[in-house]
Amino acid sequence: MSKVRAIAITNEQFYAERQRLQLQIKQRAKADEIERRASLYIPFIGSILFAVAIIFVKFLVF
Amino acid sequence: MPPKIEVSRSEVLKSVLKKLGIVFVCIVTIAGMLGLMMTGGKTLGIHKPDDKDDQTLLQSYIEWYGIFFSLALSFIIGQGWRKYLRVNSEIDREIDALTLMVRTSEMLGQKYYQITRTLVRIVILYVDTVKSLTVNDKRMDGDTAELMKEIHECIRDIVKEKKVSDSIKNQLLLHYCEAYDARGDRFDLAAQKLPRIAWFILIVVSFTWLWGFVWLEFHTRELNLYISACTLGSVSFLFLMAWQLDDVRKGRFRMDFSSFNIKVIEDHNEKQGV
Repeated sequence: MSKVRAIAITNEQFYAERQRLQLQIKQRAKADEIERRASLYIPFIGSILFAVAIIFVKFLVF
Repeated sequence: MPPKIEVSRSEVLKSVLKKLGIVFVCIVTIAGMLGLMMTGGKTLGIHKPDDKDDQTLLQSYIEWYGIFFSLALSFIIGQGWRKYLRVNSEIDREIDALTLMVRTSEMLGQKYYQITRTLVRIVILYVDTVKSLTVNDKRMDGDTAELMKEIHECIRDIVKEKKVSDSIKNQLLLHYCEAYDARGDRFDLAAQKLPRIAWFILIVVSFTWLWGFVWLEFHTRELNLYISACTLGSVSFLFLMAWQLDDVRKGRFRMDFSSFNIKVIEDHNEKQGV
């Protein structure tokens, strides 16, 4: 019998495996949320830096 | 509605700081280009063509080259957007097929309780594993591939049963095939990326077009700054979009597994006492 099928048949093993996977899902969801929020900040920070660059160039050239 | 995930600001800040290097390089490049546009290339010691006929020719060049450039960039963004939508619809298709497969297995009755329970539990483990791995999943040699093989073996055992109705067998096989096909398409779409040479060509094409603005004669510096900043800002934004849409495994437009929901399967689980 395969390892997967053994887990699926035994109650204890199945619930332990599910608990382990649920924990991993939570960790993954948290990592994804951090990544999502960080990717929202990047264009914002980029825009501020771009505006600073424009002001810098303006003072340098004018 | 999915539960709200609590994330501390310091964790987000750490992630932002990791990416700041790329942002800094991009901004320095953009600022450098802006400086060149404002000085007409004098900082590099290049003479600006100030002949009136040359300037008219340059204006026409910017115009027709701009059409070609915008078409190329919009094509890449369009393709990326379509890929992003399709990969998410494949995820939906996969979970729908798995749910229907579990629902169909309910029709087998109490005699086949053991085999139904095993199938449902393997599907639950498959769904949980996919959700825990998301973009790090592997098509052929990963845990989910092993679980898919187990689902196949469960279906095979049911198909072997002579007393099970052929229509149930057909439906189970149909839903299994649908899930397998959607899974394959999901991996295939996620692996599709624009070749590096295409990015290189696009950057060269962008630079060629933007150089036209460096040599363009402006009577007022304010107008020069306004046109240069707007053009560079728009091109940068479109590049950012194209870059984010190119890879559905990371960034803002990555695969969305929120629909990979096992609620229906959980309901079945409780009802059947699995």
